[in-house]
Amino acid sequence: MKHLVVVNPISFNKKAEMTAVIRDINAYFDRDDNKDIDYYIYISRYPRDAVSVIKKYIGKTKDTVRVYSVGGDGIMFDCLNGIVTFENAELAVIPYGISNDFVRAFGENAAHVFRDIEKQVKAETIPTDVINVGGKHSLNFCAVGVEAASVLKYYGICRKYPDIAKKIGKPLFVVGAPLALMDKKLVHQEYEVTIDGVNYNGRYCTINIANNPCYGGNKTPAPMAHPADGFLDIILAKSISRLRLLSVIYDYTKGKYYKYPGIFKYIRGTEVSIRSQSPLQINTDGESYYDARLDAKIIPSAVKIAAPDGLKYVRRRELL
Amino acid sequence: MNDKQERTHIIIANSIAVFMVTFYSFVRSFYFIYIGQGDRVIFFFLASMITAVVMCVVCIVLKNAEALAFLVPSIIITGISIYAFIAGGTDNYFIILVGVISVSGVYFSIKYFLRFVLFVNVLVFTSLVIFRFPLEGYSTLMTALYIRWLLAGLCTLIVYLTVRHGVNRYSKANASMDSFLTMLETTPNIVAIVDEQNRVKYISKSLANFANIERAELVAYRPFLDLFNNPDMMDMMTSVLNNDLDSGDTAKAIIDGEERYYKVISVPLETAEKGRLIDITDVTPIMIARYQAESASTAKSDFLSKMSHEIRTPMNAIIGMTNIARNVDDPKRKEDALIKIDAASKHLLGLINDILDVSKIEADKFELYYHTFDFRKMIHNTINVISVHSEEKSQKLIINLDECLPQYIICDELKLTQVITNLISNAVKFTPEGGTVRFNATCGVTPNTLRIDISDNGIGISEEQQLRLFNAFEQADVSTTRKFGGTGLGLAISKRIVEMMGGQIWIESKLGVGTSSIFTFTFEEAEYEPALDEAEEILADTYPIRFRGTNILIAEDVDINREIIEAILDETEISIDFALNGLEVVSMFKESPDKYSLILMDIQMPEMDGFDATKAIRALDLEKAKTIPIVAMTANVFKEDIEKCLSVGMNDHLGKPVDINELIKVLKHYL
Repeated sequence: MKHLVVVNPISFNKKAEMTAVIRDINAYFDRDDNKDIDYYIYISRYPRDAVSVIKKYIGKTKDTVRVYSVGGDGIMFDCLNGIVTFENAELAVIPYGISNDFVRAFGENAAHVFRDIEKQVKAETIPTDVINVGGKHSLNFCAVGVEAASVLKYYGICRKYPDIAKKIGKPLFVVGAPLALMDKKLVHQEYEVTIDGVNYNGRYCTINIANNPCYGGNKTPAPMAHPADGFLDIILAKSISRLRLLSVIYDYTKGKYYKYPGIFKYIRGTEVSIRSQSPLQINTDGESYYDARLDAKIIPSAVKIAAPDGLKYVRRRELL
Repeated sequence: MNDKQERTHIIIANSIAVFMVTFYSFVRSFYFIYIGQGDRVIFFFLASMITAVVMCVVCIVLKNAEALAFLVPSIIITGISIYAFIAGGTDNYFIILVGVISVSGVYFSIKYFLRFVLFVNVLVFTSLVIFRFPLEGYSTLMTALYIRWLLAGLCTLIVYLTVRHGVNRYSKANASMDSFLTMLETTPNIVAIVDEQNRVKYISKSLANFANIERAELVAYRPFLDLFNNPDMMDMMTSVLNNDLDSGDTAKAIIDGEERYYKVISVPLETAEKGRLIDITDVTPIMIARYQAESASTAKSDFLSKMSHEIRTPMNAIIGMTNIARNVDDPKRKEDALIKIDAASKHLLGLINDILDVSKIEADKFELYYHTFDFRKMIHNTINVISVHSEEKSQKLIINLDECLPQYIICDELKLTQVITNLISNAVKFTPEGGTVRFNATCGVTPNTLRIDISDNGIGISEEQQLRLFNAFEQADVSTTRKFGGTGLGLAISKRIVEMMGGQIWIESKLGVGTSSIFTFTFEEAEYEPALDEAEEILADTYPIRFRGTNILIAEDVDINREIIEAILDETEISIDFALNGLEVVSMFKESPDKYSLILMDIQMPEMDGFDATKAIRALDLEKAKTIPIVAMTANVFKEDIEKCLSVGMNDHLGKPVDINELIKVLKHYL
């Protein structure tokens, strides 16, 4: 087996932290009993930089290649898209930084296990579903509407006022949500939604397509989602007044959407297509963007994810 | 100036104006406090002061305040104004007016409200100046308010004009950018501008179309590599972003199964916002043309190399056998050598004819000459020629002519013979000794169509090789050339002939089992039997032919050619005078015009060529000059060459190498 370690420097607040992590990884592979292990550490330079590097690395060999994504969900996204077409590739997630929602699928306190390089190297893999969104692949979720717009507004503020964003940092993220809520058109946007051939057209403030129960740091809006069940868990939130929306948001983020059957609709499916007259505001595993259309499809057991210490995915709530 | 810019500077203008006014109020409030009258106005002024300061800071830092930043202070001012009015009595109506104006702004669009406020400021200022409200008799508060409006109006105007000037300058700069972006919109090139993190800042319409992006404006700030799903394009763009591809390099990508070539230019942007400009031009037509030219050049070199070999082989036989014939005394060996020279010469001639045919095909000058002929007889004659070779290999040659076959048809006999000869020759060549070759001719499915099927149990051809067989210079395998010889021209020529005859040709074969070469062609029905071939008639009646007493003039500059003709015509007892160039032939004819019954004229000669010599003879003021038959004798055998010969006044055309039957035919015709 070969090992490719991909590091995202932006996931670390200080360069010293990243250096320390790389040093630990090097120290493990340079041990006497690991001298025969073929490994390579690559530091990503920009978004999607790692994708072609991974493809080239895996394409050169028939051996199994385990790719270690060191950083947040952003670099995990790149690594996933690098390995997804290869039968001989595996993904190991080593979470650093703020946004590490994927490992929460193994439980809330599992992150430290994933940071142990030795356990990751020795870990067995478990097949995991992947969401194909317009040719790109994601592990956690894909959101359309206010949820995605919050992130887009935050990024907009960061681009417009980079110095302020740098000084304030991630707490500035809270500005995004109110700004998104202020957009009345967005809250009442009309969508043409098709799930497995069935129409669910209507006005929604947010549409959540989940493969993983967790995202957004501490949110579990889709607790019944399971990354290896072969299904997408879709929550459609009907357009309501913004005041009412403010009152249900907290329960929604904690996975208690079922308390509001008139507002939230839960559907299990395998293919989702969304269209709208206005641009779609989309967030896929932390990657936020606009698009004119969205087609999402589950690919069951598309990748093999290293699960150290024999960890398994946790279904936080059984299907209701 | 657009609405956003106008809003910005109006907000700034009003903010500064309000700040200055309330700063004055603030200073005055201390005065009122000092004189013991501060309790009625202090809250208003302090509140105005604080909110105005906040509004100014917000506007200046954010450069374009949200409505919230402007409306909240308006509401606070209004509230305080009302309070001041209630506390201060009826002479504070002006404060109420200010409050009403502010409140009304809550329900107006920000655009109209700001202009409205500006208008009011200017109006009040103008009113104060024009009507000069008397200051006596009014309360201190009113006076202060008048002065405040005066200042507000004045400041607003000054600031507005100053800021607008600045904004206009900024707009001009932006106009340049707008023009640049408009230019990029219309370019057919794929253009993108990315930032330092390789996220999209701008893409051209061409790139949006190329990447199947419905709305180009939606991809802003996305990673540039996300625009491409095609793996080759993604690799190419990654190389560009990583500077692995030098600017100006060409890269290949497979798009929808088709090879495409792109020239990439990547230029760093030396602006305040770092990034780069990426320009991608589709150069596929240029590259394809280049590869085709290179391929044609390579094919030409290969062809010349092959031709050199093919020509040398019979030439070696001719030279070698000639030496043997000269040096041996044994008549049988001499005879054997001459036979082999004859065979090699004919092979060489066939090769040259094939090359000429391919040239005609490529120049689109390959034509058919339709005439009536005996189809069944043609087949027998053709097969008879080939049967010599099949007998040599002890092969069985089986002929089957269907009863429905017509006796006489109108078609190009020579070309049809060429096709059949080529296919049967291949069958005999690629069938081992003792094998079987079958020739089958039947009527086709559609009227006036015939089908010829030539099959063998020879070495066969693989499917992959079959695809290339009808290409010029292609044979089944490189080893075929080595083992069996050939130029790979026969099938290409046969295909062209068959297609021109409205038919199809194809191969059905299996390696190690055998091959069937099948073709169909269309013909016209002959209404009558053809006249006997003139040459056949002549030869049948009068061969060997004699021209004793007849003189002919032959213009030929090459010694060996003169010798050949002399030798050919020796038996005919015809008398020959030779001229070595065009000038000589004209002069010799002029001297003795009645001596000669015919002129055989070579074309390529020194001093004066055959065309000019013919024109000169025809231009002579002699009756015989107009009537004497002049026959061209030349290796140029294209139709236009023949037409040119006729156009300058020649009567006929003989191709080189001269065929004795054709020569006799001409002599017989004209003498």
